[in-house]
Amino acid sequence: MWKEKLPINCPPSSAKELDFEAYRILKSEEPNEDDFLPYVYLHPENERYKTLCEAYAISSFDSENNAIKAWKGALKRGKKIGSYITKVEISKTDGRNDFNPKSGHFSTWLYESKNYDTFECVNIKLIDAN
Amino acid sequence: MQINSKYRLQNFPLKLRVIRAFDFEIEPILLLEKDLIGNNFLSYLIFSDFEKEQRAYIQVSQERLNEILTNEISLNSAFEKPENEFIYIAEFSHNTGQTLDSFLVPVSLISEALVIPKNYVVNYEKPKNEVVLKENDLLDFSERKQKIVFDFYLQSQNLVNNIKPYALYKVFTPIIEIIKNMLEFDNRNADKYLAFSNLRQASFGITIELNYSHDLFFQKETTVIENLILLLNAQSKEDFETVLHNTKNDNYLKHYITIIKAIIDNNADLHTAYANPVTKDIKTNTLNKERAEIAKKIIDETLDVIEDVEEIKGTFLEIDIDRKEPSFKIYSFEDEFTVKGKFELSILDKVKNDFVNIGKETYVFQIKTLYFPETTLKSEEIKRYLIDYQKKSE
Repeated sequence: MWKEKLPINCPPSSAKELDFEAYRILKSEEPNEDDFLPYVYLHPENERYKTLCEAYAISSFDSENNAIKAWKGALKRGKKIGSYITKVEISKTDGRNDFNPKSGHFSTWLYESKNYDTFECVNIKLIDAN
Repeated sequence: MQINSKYRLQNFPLKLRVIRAFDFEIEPILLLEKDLIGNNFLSYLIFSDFEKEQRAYIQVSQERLNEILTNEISLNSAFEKPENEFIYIAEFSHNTGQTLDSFLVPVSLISEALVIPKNYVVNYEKPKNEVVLKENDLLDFSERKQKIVFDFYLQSQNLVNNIKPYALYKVFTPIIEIIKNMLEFDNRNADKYLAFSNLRQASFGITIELNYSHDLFFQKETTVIENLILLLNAQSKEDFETVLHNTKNDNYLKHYITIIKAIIDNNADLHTAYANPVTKDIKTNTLNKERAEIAKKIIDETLDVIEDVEEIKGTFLEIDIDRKEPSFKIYSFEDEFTVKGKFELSILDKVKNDFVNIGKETYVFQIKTLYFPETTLKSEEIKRYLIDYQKKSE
């Protein structure tokens, strides 16, 4: 059912199928499947996060502002995760989502049928850090 | 963050496991981690590039953790006033997760460097159903206890304010009876092999600790508890056949039927989880009304009658051999309850010829129980027959 072998009780029961517009950071203007990999696959040998449910989800935000705020947070901590921002459509058939209304952050656990390279990116633009 | 080398530790003394993320946006910012004996540590991401991450750690009690999660105190305050006055900083390789460097730093260093932003707010919403133990917490618990643990949580609208007797007598006790039956021990040894902990109300939760083998491998109890999970999960004839194939007898089925009937009658959900400290396995199951009805239908269609023979040590309370169907009543010393039934005809002469001393002498009784499951035409029925008895010498 799930794209990845998930930890037990993952995703949480609160995760729902949703249709929404989301904002995600891209490394370059030409998106590829690496731009949509869950955290756990950035460092597949790292044992620390193998049982952490959120590490198997892809992150996105409900607004451009919230996405840039998170990007700035990562930059301040020492990592430039990308230079571009895009809007993507996530649909009910893609997977289940947990939404944090306070930060506007979505965690999306993908169904097996959804591929990382099939997100249609629109309005790709360079992040304005100011 | 650059840290003076005078605070450097030769080795990071904590062996931690990441349990939960309270803030995960693009990367894991605020985490709950636990050490080998179950102490809680909050770790906050200070620095992260493409090579390594640097995290600040404080140990927190459950009370302090709740205060932080509900924003009664800020994360910044929690780091400025750690309960045990220690703050660790550790660096981990992104590629391997191994510790690269670690420090034990004074609180002043953290507050002066504003490691935790003053305006940082924990945006974590505690799940409503925390009474169902988290799997990792259960595994931690089993590792600390060095026992197989089986967590039981019965949820129903009628259990919100208090625990009703059916929860104890028709769900919890039958679970214990199934475990006893499958492990082949009786009440005399129950205190030796079983213990209960983590009692929770609203609805009703309890953890069953099991150590039958009293060794480091828990082989027999592992087999039994995994079979119990299979039984609670069974939804087809084949599932039940697998369970039956794994067990010496099917006497436990009458207890299982009691459980599924109670779940159906009370529209309850039975959440169970098992953790094994040796294999690190965690298995879970939820048996709700819908699944219980499917299981009951299969049992009713498949099994006409369930037969069980058990030995009971006790004394006669009543004997009536003049009735058309001679009957008895006995008292069990071990289980402290009375059992009523009929004599099997083959032992009637023995009863008549023996000078049975009612209420005084101790006997070992062999009781055959026939359980007739409920069908569309008639309700369930239990019949007990005394098939033999031996006087126990004092």
